[in-house]
Amino acid sequence: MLEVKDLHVTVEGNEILKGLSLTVNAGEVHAIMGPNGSGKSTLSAVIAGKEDYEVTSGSITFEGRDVLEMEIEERAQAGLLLAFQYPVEIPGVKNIYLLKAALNAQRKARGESEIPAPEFMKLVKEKLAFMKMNASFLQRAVNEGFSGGEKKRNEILQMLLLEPKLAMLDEIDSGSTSMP
Amino acid sequence: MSATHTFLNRLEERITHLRESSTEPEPSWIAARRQAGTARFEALGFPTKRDEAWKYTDVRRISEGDFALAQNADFSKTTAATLGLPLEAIRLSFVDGVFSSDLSDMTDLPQGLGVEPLSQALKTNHESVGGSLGRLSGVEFSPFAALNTAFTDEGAVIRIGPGVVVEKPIVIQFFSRANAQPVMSHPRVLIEAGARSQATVIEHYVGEEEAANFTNVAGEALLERGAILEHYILQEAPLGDLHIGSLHIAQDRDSRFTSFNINLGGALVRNDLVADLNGEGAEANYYGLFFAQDRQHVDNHTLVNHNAPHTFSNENYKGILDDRARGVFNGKVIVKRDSQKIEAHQSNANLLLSDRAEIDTKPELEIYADDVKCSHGATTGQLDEEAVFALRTRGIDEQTARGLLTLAFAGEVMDKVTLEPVAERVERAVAGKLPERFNLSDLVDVATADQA
Repeated sequence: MLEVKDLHVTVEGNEILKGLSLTVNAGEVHAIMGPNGSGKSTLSAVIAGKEDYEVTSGSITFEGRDVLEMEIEERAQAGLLLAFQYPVEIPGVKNIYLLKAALNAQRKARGESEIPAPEFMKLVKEKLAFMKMNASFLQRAVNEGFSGGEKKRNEILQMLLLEPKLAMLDEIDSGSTSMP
Repeated sequence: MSATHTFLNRLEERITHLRESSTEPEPSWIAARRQAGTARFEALGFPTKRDEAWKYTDVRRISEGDFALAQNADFSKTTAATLGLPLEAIRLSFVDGVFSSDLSDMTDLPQGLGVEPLSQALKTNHESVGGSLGRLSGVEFSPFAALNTAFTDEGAVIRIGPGVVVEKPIVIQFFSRANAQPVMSHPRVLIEAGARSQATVIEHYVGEEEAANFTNVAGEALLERGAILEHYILQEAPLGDLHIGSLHIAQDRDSRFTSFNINLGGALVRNDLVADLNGEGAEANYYGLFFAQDRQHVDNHTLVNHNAPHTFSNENYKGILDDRARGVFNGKVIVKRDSQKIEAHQSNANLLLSDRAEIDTKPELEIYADDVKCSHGATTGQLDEEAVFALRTRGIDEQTARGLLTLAFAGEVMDKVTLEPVAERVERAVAGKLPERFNLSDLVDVATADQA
C-alpha cells in the first residue's frame, strides 16, 4: 500500500532522514519509534506534503502512485491522512466548516456528489457521540483554546469522518486524556 | 458655479418647501443652526486631498455631483421587508432620507423610551431636542457635518429614560432607491441614553441595486452615568451609493459604549467615530469590519479621547480588500494629561486578496499622561500558510482553504457581535462576496441550519 524507498530528507540543509525504507501493507499496524530528533515527525510531514522539507533522493508511493508528485490535498483525497502531533489552531474556522469541506472534497475526488446537509449532520453527530464529544464543539473554531487532549480528539474525529485508507498518527496519545 | 453652490441651491429649495408646507413658523434656533451650518460649509468648501484627514479619500464624486432631494418615501413593503434585518425590532424607516411611517413600527414602546423622526420631534417638543442637537456633532467637525447641520430636516431621535432597559433592538433603516436622478439626504441621529439605561441601536443602510445616491449622516450619542449602549452601523448600501457618516459619543461615568461598524456596500464610504470618555470608569469598544471589492473605497477614521482617569478603550478593525479596492484606517487615541490609569488598546489587521488592492493604515497615539497602559498594532498581509497547509492535509483544495480562512479572518470580529441575526447576515454576506472560486455559501447554510 505505502512504499517508502531509500528516503533522504533535508531541512534547512540538515539531513534528517538518511535512507529510510518502509513498506506498509493493507491491514497492518506499524509503530515507528525512536529518540527525539530521529525524524519520526519528519517522515509523516513529508508524506503529508509539508513544503519546508526537501526530498533529496528516494521515493514514496501509495497504491502505486508517486506521492511526491501529488498536491497536498490530493494525498488526503487518495486516503492518506496525517493526524498532527501539534494540531494547528485555526481561529475563526468553525469545525463544522472544516469537516464538511473536507468530506465533500473527498467525495468530489471520488466522483461522488456533495453530501446533503441532513445526512452530513447525522453522520457527524454519530461520530461525535462515539468520541464522547459535545455537539457545541462543531460551532467552535478549529482547535482554538482546546486542551491538548481535545485537540487530539479532534484529529481522531476527522479520521473517523474521513475514513482514510492509511492514517498516520503522530504521537496521537501525547497530551491526551482517555481515548474511547 | 462652484461645487458648494449646487448643494446650497438645493438647500434653499428644501427650506422654501418646508416653509410652504408648514402652517407654523419654524423655531428660531433651527433657522440659526441652518445659517451656522451654511456659513461654515461655504467657508470650508469640500475637503481635498490637501486636508490631512482626507488625504486618501477623494470626494469629487460627491462635490461634482448634482443630487436632487427626494420628494416622497414611496417604497414597496415587500422589498423593504426583504432588505431589512430579520429581527423583532422597533423600526424607524427613511426612504432616500424621507421618513416613512408605513415602513416604521413604533408601536408598543416600553415606558420611558422615545423614538421618533426628527421632523416630528421638531414640531412636538423642539425645545428639548434643540438643547441636545448639535451639542456633539456641530458645524466645526467637518464640511460634511456643517452641510448636514445646514439641512437639519430629518433623522431619528431616540431618547431612553433613566434606568430603562430596552429589550428589542431599535433599527433605523435607510433605504436607497434607484432614482432617475440621484438624490441626497442629510439625516441626523440623536441618541440620549439616560443613567443606567440599556439599549441597542442599529443604523442599517441598504437599497436597490441600481441606486447611486448620496447619504450624509451625522449622529450623536450621549451616555449618562452607567448607561450601556450597543450601536451598529450595518452599511450594505448599493454599490453605486456614496456614504459619508459620523458619530460622536459623549460618555459619563461608568457608561459603556460598544460600536459595530460593518461596511460591505457603497462606492465611496467614509465613517468617522469619535468617543469622548468624560467620566471615570467609562468604556468604549470599537469593532469594525470592511470588505471592499472592484473599485470600492472605504475609509474609517476613529478617535477616542480619554478625558478622564480610569477610562478604557478597545478597538479592533479588520479589512478585506480585493480587486482594485482601497481601504483607509486611521485610529487615533488621545490621552489627556491628567487621565492616569487609563487603558487603550487598538488593532487593525488587513487582508489583501489581490495585488492591486490597497490599504493605508495609520494608528496614532497621543499620550500626555504617564501612568497608562496602551497598545496598538497594524498588520497587512496574506493568510497564515500553516493553516492553509493544515486544511489541505484534510483534502480541502487550496482555494477553498483560502476562502475558509478569509471567512475566519472576518469571523474574529463577527464573534463579538451579540445579535445573532446580524452576525449570520454578515457572515453570509462575506461568504457571498468572496470570489466565486471560494464559493462557501453552502457551508454557511449548513452551519446556520445546525444552529437554528
